[in-house]
Amino acid sequence: MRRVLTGLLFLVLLWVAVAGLNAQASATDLLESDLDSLFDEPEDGREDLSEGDQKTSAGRMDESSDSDQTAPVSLIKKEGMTFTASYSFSAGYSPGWSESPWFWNSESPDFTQLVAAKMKSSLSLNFQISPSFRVFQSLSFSFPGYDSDLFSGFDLSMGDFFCDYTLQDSVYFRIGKHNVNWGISRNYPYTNLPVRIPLGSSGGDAYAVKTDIPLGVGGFQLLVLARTGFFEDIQSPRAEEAAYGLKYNLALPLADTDIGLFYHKDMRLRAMFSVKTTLWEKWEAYGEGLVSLDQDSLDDPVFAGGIGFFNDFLDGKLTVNGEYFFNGERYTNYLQTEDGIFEEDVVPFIYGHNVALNLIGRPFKGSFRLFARWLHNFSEGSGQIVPGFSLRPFENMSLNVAFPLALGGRNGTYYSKNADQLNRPFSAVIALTFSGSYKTGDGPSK
Amino acid sequence: MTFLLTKTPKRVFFCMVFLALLGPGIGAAETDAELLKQADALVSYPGTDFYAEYTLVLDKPGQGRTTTVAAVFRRDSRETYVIIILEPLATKGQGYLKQRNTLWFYDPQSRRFNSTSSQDRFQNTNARNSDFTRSNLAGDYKIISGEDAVLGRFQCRLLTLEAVHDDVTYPRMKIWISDDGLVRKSEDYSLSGQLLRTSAIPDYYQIGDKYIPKRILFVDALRGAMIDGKFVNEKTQITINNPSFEGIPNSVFSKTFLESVNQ
Repeated sequence: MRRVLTGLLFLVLLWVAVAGLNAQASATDLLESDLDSLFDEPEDGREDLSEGDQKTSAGRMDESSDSDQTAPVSLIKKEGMTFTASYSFSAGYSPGWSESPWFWNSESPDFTQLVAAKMKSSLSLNFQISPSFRVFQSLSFSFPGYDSDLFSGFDLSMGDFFCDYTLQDSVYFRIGKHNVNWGISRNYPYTNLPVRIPLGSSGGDAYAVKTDIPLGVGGFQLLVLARTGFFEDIQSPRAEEAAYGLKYNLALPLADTDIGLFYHKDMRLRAMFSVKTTLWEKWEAYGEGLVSLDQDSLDDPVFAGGIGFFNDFLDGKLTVNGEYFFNGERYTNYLQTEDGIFEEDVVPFIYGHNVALNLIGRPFKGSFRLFARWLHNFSEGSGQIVPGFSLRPFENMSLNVAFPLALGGRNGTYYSKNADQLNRPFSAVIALTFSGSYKTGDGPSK
Repeated sequence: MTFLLTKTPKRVFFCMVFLALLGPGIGAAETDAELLKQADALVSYPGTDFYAEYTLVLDKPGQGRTTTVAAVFRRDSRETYVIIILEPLATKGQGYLKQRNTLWFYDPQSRRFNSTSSQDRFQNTNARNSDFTRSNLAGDYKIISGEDAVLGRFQCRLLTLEAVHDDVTYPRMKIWISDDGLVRKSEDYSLSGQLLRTSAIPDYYQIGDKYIPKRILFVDALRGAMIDGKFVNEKTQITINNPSFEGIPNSVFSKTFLESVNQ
């Protein structure tokens, strides 16, 4: 406990130290003037040296003075520190039923009422120590905390903790505790190979050495990734227990393309590709594919792939994302990281034909949002639809209401395994959240 | 023969009159075209890299002012640029990477790249993403007309331009080029002739034979608010500081660099 308090005190002191920093004053002189009268004024003499060329009516800068300037890249990666504090206090009520409404005639469902209250803070420090070296660290504090599903008062956990090092403006390293994401789909992250975990594994935090080598606009990425769940004995990890990845990004004006390969000894060898482009100026279209092989025989290929799109309609009042995904792999999981909406969880990919449709409507000015998410697997006849709405009636306050409903038979994956805490197929969620963050300093932001 | 003798001098006379009337027009058109090319050349840097800090102050009538500071890296020889948002903190780390006609936008919150349009507003100001690239007026527009004009203390040539393709932000423009070859003012129009925006560049830096705008004022003709019964236009001032023609590493013009700045 003393360590925790010392750490918090340290963060608060750092915040106080940088709180007095002010943003650079901005030039606004032209905003006060009538546009045409600008040309009646004498030339701004600040750069107009005595030998200034009156014919050109332009100020002249001494070229030699530039040689004293720091290299341009250093100017935007100058030494400094940013402190960010994020807070969230939520209270929620969720009535739910153990069966979907169309089964109510055959069986009387169990009715349960959940209440939840959660407080969470995240304090992070972002140091640019030199133009080539940066360190990021964050600490999370949440209540209530659970240790192996047992209430333990509160949780104190380390968030991301990594350093960035740039070698000669040519090679970019990131080393430490951080997540690595590949692929495009936000519905089915099957090409996000670094989040794949072996069957039966709980995954755990990701520790990675990521090396990026720019080539043109895109470039190569080399990845060595380990999760706490990958090791038999965390005290003496072995190199063969880590996962290894290689990805190449080819960014062309017409399309952004990724190809990647990912290996872990307890998973099939997987290769992925993704292509994203913009059609007719507004339609963001993407396609992804995956092939997995038995890693010993390099045989038994299994394929997965899909296409999707994003677009805004009605002058931005309606955002639509649609996706089709065929999954040829059976019994595969990925680790869903906590992102403010979902808790960290091991989530299965469902075999067969899948579709996803996401709608976000903004019918009025302001923060009111209507949303609906539909995920369906036609091979299994199982799906999930989550309509709802959200609004921010006042600053730092948000209200979220949703009605998650599982579709299809009781044996379907979405019926038995969904985002609900008790995996109830039909529930309502009402959550009120007070949240906000404060950021200060002159260093990098995350 | 007499007929011929009497007719021919008349023909020659009319031809001479016609050419005398047409001649200055052709000459002026050629001069205007050259002037437009010169205006492009003075603010384009194909032989070197360019860096500067841009401070944009958006003045929304009735809503106050917001300031955005951006670092701009340009490599005109490859028609590319990179822009990194330095302030405010809320959008710090957002970045733009132009690759020919494609403009990538990077959001450090989602850690994703999306393509965006050069014609879109830059950070919701009155500047457009296309305002940060090299000038190519002579390639993008044809001259419809030209006339002499006075703009405050400047003797100018006022050119009316019409786009020759659809990849430009504004299909029609009027530009005022002062006698030193620099663009001082422009009016940007829609295809239907609606005034959309007016821009003013009262002063430039000069480094060698290269020119860099020092301050730019954009006045949005359509966006604004009624204040005391009068329509007050939205405005954005750009102030350019610390310009430099130092070489920039190739890796800056990559997606990896945008990610590395503030991921």
